Amino acid sequence: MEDRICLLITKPPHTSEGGKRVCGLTRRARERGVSVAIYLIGDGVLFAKKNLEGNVAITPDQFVSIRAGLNDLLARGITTDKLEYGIEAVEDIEDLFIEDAMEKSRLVVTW
Amino acid sequence: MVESKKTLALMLFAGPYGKQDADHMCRIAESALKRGYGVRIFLYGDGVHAQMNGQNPLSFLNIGEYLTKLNEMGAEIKSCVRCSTARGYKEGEFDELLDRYPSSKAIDAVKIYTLYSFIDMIRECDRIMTFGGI
Repeated sequence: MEDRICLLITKPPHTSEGGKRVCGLTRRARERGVSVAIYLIGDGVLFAKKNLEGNVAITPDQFVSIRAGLNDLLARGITTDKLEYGIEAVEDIEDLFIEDAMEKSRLVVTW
Repeated sequence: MVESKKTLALMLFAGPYGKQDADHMCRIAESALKRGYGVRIFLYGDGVHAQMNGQNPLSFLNIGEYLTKLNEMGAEIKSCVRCSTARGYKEGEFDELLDRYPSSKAIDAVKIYTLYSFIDMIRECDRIMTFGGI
């Protein structure tokens, strides 16, 4: 199994320390060459918006992939043109998350 | 469908309707069951309110009905007896025949059980996910 962790985020970026912890964890994992797969659902999709302030922005790259639930985005008025570059909006996010969490990742953390 | 059946344990700390935690947990449980994984759910703290009989939300997902559906699909669902007692669900001592603490206020799909069963759940599962924590 690839050295990979999977994060499920359901909370918004600015209402608790969770946002900063997620960003910190992702940065440190990236520095160590660990892949991070981030799934955003519910209010967690607010992490996907462009130009977030307050040190909570996460950007996809070769180590970090980010998927956001399309229905949750649209329910909050976030159209795909408002997403950070590289973040994927997907309809079947629960199915993709389960596949990743159960088969591809060594560790799963929910926030 | 997966070949060797892995098991997912889900813990719910928040009650339904105030936040979306119960919705998220149920959707993920359904997705896991459809893909052939075992699913075990434990309701803890205010999460035990998800077991209430007769839920009738006007515009939200009915979590009581969703848990019943998940149970019919194969999910094992238990709730903490201490949390259930504190919130008025438990109505007597453990019933060996029913394999649960009795409650007319809880849906049949959920068994009120000791917290020790959650420890077993953790020991036996492949992944644990929590919903509604701080």
